[in-house]
Amino acid sequence: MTAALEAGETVLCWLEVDLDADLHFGKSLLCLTERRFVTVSATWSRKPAAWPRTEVALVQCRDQFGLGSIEIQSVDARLAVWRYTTRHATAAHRFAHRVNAALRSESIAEKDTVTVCPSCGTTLGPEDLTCQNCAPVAQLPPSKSLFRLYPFARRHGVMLALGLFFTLAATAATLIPPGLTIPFVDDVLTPLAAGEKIDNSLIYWFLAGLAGAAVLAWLLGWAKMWVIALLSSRIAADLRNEMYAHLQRLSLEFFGGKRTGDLISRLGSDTDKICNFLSISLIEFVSDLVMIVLTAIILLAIDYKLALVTLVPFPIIAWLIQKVRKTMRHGFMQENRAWGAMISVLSDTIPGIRVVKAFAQERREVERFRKANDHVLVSNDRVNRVWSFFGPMVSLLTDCGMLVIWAYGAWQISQGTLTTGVLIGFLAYIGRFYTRLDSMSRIFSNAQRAGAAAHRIFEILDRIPSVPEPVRPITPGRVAGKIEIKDICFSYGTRQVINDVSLSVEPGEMIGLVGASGAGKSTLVNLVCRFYDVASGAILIDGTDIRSFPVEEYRRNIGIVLQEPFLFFGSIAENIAYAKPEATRAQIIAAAKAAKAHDFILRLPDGYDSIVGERGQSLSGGERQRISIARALLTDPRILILDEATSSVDTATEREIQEALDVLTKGRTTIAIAHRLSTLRNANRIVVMEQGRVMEVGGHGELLDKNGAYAKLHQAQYELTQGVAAP
Amino acid sequence: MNHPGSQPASQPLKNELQPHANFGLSRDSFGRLTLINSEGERFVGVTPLRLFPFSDRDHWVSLVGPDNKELLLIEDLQSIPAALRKTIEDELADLEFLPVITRVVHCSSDVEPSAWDVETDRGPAHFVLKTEDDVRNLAPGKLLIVDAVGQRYLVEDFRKFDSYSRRIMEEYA
Repeated sequence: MTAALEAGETVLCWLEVDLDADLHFGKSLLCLTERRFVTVSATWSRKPAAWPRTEVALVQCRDQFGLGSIEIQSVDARLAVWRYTTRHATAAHRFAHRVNAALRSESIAEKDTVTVCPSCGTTLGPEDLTCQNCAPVAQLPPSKSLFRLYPFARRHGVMLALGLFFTLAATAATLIPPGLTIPFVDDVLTPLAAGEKIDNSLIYWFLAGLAGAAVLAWLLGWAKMWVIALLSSRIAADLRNEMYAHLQRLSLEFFGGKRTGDLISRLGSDTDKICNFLSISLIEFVSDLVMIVLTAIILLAIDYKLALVTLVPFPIIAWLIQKVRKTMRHGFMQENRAWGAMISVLSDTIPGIRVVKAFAQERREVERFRKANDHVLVSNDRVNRVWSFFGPMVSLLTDCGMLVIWAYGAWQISQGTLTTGVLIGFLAYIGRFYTRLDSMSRIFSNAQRAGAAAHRIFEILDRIPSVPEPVRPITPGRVAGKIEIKDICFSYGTRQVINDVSLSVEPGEMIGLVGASGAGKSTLVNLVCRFYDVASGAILIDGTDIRSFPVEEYRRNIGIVLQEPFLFFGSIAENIAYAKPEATRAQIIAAAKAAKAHDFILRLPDGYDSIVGERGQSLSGGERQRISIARALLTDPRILILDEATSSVDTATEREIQEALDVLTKGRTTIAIAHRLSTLRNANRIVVMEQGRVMEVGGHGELLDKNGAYAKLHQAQYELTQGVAAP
Repeated sequence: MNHPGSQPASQPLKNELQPHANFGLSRDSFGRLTLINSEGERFVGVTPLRLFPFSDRDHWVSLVGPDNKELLLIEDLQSIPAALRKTIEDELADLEFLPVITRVVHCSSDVEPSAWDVETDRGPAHFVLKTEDDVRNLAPGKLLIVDAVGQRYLVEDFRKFDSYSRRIMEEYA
């Protein structure tokens, strides 16, 4: 690189692009120096080129379908163009930004150019486009995810130890009866059959021993089941709690990108699968393993030749398991995904049922569900096909094993080298051995299923919450409400939504935010609420950066009224007191009165105890909005955000809500986003935004006189409302 | 109608709730309740309403005029003169018909719709429960049941019921 520079030149800023002129991968470097714009190809296939700085008028970059281009232009022509993949998009935009600043001979002091991950909201470093959290790191194989359940099990250590102990003991207890069979046959039955006389008490002893072993096995089995079932349901409950708590900490962006049904299915059915696996399959697996090992030892101890013969099918089964495992795991992963997709269809259409019915699309939705369900069926079938072959195959092999023993045993007895008792004892052991092997192969499919479920759960738990808590927090207490927004930038991935916005709001002042959709209004208030952190610049409240407040304490100072008021299932009183559960009834009534909600609440059959929300009283949009205003009023926030609080209602209702809003905004710093300019008649100042920038700031009259963007908006709305109502 | 319950919108929050001043209640010849407020205004046809009929029955009773506007808000029934309280409670008792279930005699099935035979404080009753959503949990042991025709029944505390009734109720709690 330095070779391409002239003496006394230094690189001011640079960009690496990764595609050459024919769109093949090949790196080149673009740099801006004090005198020239220089480009060097990494392979030196293209000769270094340079343009004097005076010739370059503008650097422009564009992104399209994963391919970006950056070009330099003189005043009247394009000088050169380079292309790059999305990986360099952020860097390219920044480079263009800085070069342009330099060309306008502004200083290109290193602006804090971090950006924010589009999927999880974490702050990214200057060079990486994908964030560390969301980058597809080499995931553990799903079956390994099961091991990650161990920390959850360890919290219930006593239970875990107890469970293991009972499992071992119960398994050992079930091995006593076949052991007793050998002497019973050889010392009692065979002599009896041969007509010999034996001590009767010996028979009773053996029978008592068998009965005792059965009772012991029953007791221990009971204890084992009970303890393990307790343990597994606790682990599943812990997982659910942990997952839900974690979900609540994740950023809004995360929820925007996830389907509700999928999340619900992860939280519900996946944890359930793990619970089932732990309570039923895992203990069986452990006891099977113990059983197999113990039996093998006993068999070898009794007669090693016979034992070796019986173990012949074992390696074949082991090989079969290994063979089928991968297919099964894929099958189960697919099954879970298909299940999640099916639930997603439900959670999609049930809340949207009005739209479905209004457009008479019931049949199509049924079809959509059928398709999702068919996917579940197909993935079930795939698993079942393998499984139905596998199970009987293991049975066949075990039967073969039994056959081998019968044959070998008969031969040995005829040779006189084996007693009948040992053969029967052997058969009793081996019967257990192979049924265990059989059930173990069944378990491994459950293990794959649970592994797939655990994998989906840890996928969520591994997400890192976006808005970091400060290391040394400053308690905000009750703020005065002065908001200073200083030079903030913010982008969702490569899309810059807020561009160098600065704004200062005095305590108690009401600011109206207007502008077209996508102008960055909602993003701006999201930044003020600290749903995301700014990429550069800062937002100060009472002169302190909001990033130095603990998130929860800071948000306690903020009240929000949204376009679609959300009421939770519960009584009206509970909904009003949502953010302040300790509020007295007098406070709730006072808030409702101030929000003009008291009168309609009176008329409901149960007053403040009426149930609202899903499957509750149906309230009109205006009534719901007034309840949500009462909710905001009750917390008495210093800073108030109105996000198009009146856009979803008619003009008459708007007037009612407006009265309630007037009470709410009094004395509070308010940022109101509005499409209807009429909502902003009380605003002290109006801020017009366009493409992430502040275009105009000023009072209503002042902006009209300016005849700029606001005047145009006003004119457009005036024309729209003319003939309907005076603006 | 101008009445003391409404305040200008700009009033600060704390002053919104005015303490009930002196007032009088009487019945006219038609049996309608008449309210005379502290300023001497008369309102005929006043209805008392409990604002928290389940969570707090004895506080926050609103007196509403015929046009459904609140005329007076009483925070605590105990704090007003006994005679007034009696008038209000009588009127409330007339308006509220909420049988309290004391025992379940028979419930046809544990899947809805189910037919119930119950004993209430107003005598035996028979009703049909349409869905389990019609049973509302008010507090531990306390249920509100809405039957198929919309009549409501209260269960004060089913934990004190006999074992048959309790078993049935526990399914809904």
